[in-house]
Parts: sequence; C-alpha cells; structure tokens
Amino acid sequence: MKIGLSSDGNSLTDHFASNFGRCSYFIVYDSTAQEVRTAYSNTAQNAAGGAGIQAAQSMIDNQVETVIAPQMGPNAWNVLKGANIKVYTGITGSIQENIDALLAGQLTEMADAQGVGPGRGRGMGRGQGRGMGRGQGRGRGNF
Amino acid sequence: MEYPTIIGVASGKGGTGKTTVAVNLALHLAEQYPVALLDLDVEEPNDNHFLHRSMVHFQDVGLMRPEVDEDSCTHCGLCAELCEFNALAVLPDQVMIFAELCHGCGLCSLACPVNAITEHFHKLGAVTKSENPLANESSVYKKNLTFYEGTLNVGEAIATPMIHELKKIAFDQKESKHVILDLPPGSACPVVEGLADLDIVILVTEPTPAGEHDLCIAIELVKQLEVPFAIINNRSDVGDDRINRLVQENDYNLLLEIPHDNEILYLYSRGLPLVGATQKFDELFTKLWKNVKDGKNWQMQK
Repeated sequence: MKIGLSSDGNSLTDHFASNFGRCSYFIVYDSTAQEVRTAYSNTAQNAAGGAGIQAAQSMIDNQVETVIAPQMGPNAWNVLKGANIKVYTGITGSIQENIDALLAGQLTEMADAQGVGPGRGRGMGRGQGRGMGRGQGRGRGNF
Repeated sequence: MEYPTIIGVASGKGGTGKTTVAVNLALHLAEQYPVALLDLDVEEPNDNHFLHRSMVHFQDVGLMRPEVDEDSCTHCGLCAELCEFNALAVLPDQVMIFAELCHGCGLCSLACPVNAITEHFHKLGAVTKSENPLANESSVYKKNLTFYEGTLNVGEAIATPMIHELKKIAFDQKESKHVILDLPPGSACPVVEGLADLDIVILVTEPTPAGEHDLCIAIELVKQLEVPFAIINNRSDVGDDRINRLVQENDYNLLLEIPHDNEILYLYSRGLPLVGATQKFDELFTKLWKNVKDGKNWQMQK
C-alpha cells in the first residue's frame, strides 16, 4: 500500500506537517516494500490558490492509496474522495510514527473536510486571562 | 497632445478619497469639456452616489470557463499540470473543475491533445452607462459627462476581466477630451490591470502610517508600470508631516493638499459632490487641474 504524508522535511524522521496543502514536502511510503518511494517538495506551498487541489493531484499522480493529513479543505477532500483515496487524521510526531500508527490501526479515518473554504483556516482559541484588581479597602480602627 | 487624456485615480490605502477626487475632477472638467468618468472599483462602485445618473445596461462581462467531454478525455493530466491557478484536477476516470479558481486564460483547452475541453461564457457582472442627456438638457454636467460603471456580481472573486473591459471602453472614448478612471484600492491584480497604459495616475493618500505605507507600495507599482504619478495629500492637517517628508525626500510631485473640512463630510454623507457646492471647492479643483497641467514630474508624451 502506498501512503502519502505531508511533511516538514524529506525523510521519515522529519515532523509530520500541520497543514496538507501548504506543507514543505510530501512523502510517499510503500508499506509493502517498507521504504520511501518518493519525497518531493510542495511546489504549491506558496500558491495564491488551489494548493490543496495540487497536493491532492500529486497524490493521485503517485498512485497513493491512503493519505495521512492533519486536516483538509473541501477542494483537496473532493479530489481525493473522487479518486477513492482514503484519508486518515495524523498525529503529532514524526513521519515514521504516523506510518507505524496507521499500520497498527491507531489512526482514525477522516469523516469530512474540515476547512471552511480554500485557503481559509478555522481557529479555536482559548483565552486565559488573569485579572489584576485594585482593592479599595477602608480599615476600621478598633477604637 | 497638449496634456494627458487618460487619468487614473488610485490610492493604495482604501478610504483616502479616490472617489471624491475622481468624481469632482470629472465634474470640474465637464464644466468645459466633454469628459468620461469610469468607475473601475467594481467590487464596490460608489461614484454614482454622488452623480445620481440613471444607468442603462451597456454590456455583460465574463470569462470563458472550461468544460470537459469525459468521453473523449484520455485523463492524461496535461491540463491540470499546466493550469497556473490549480483550477483542474485530473482523476483516473474524471476531471474536476474548480470554477472559482479559473481565470479564463484558455490554456487548458488550447493544450488538450484530444480537444476534449470546450470553453463556455460565464458572466461575472455588467457594465452600465449613464443615460444620454435629453436634447434640451440644461445641466452642463449631464451634457458633458458620460459615466460608466462596472459592477461585479456578488460572490465573484475575479475582477480583472471586468477592469479589462472598462479599460477598453476608456480607450475608446474618442468624443471625450479627458477620461477619468476611479481605480480600485490596493495594489493587486485589478489595480495592475487598471493602471497599465494610463497617461498619468493621481495617488490619493492621507498623512497616517497606513496612508504612507500603502502609498509607498502603490508608488513601487506605478514605477514598474511606468505610469507617471503625482500625489494628493488628503486630510493633510489631520495626521503628521510624514507625507510631506516623503515627498521632499524623494522629490515627488505633490499636486494638492486637501485640509480636513467638516463641510466635505457633510456633503459626502448626503451624496453630494463638492464641485458646485461652494466656491472654495470649485477653486480647489481648479487648482488641482492647473497643477495637473503644470506638473513638473509628468512625462507628457508617451
């Protein structure tokens, strides 16, 4: 089985990228031969638009059957689904760790596209404010 | 040619007074000459708020988008490989077209080795034109000023083909002595398309950090496009002296300073032009036009 991953570098020890369409490298791993088939830099990393589409296209062109991605916008998702490619949500860690997790059945299959549109992310912040109060006490003397 | 004929009004930063300058300069000139004003800010055309002209449909504008005949397509992938905008994906048994990314360049259909791609017109919006004045029209503005407006349909992301059509109309105004183009803000594709081949461009700015920053980007752009430019400093007494310093240090041509004036805001908020309202504004635009004609840094001849 050929597995496609978004990566920060071109080797198995590199970090799994936090973005599919805008990652630095793609790695195609052959789990039967247990070796990297190809690793190539993402030419659409800084594209004005359609980075996810081109990333998905490159998966198809490399006969990838399973993609591991952090999350995915609707365009890339539709391309991969149109080509019957399975998409799994990756974990924080190296490329090798993600491959191992997939083969051990520990990754979950992505149910749907998660971006809201091309090139648009969705953030969820959690504020942790700490207030500084100024007291205005009035002491009462004990006579 | 004694003085420039096609004049752009641009800014870099939005909200600096492009529309005010473009509309009032056009009205000022229309007191003497036949003039055409074109609103190229097609995402939010505002000029007619101050002109109040009734408009008629002039032409539809759109672009050609590809359609794939899956029966003759061999799914070779060449179209997707060549597309500069990643608007196509070729799957083993189908071609996906992402229409909103397509710029209508036509390369895919040109390149397809089996001619499986045909192009079809997709409407982006329309250009409207001011109604012709009546034969007994008394208003000199209506008699002399022809106004065109481009309006992009809501949801369309690509303004450039619309700007392109408006430019063609601008260069076709043979009856007019002067043509004023109210350009979109910013410095991206629509502005580049709007600026190309203009005789001169007036950059309207304001003395604020953002005004200066965006002006410098706009200047970089007009220099690359080799369009002679000069600057109007609007609300000149509101911020600091950064625009004056910039002009002095670089020997730029400062056409006009427009001080902050509550009367301008009053007229603006009621959709009234400055020209014709009070004498001081007539004088302001008389001065502007004099400086445009006398401008030391204009390259008059193309």
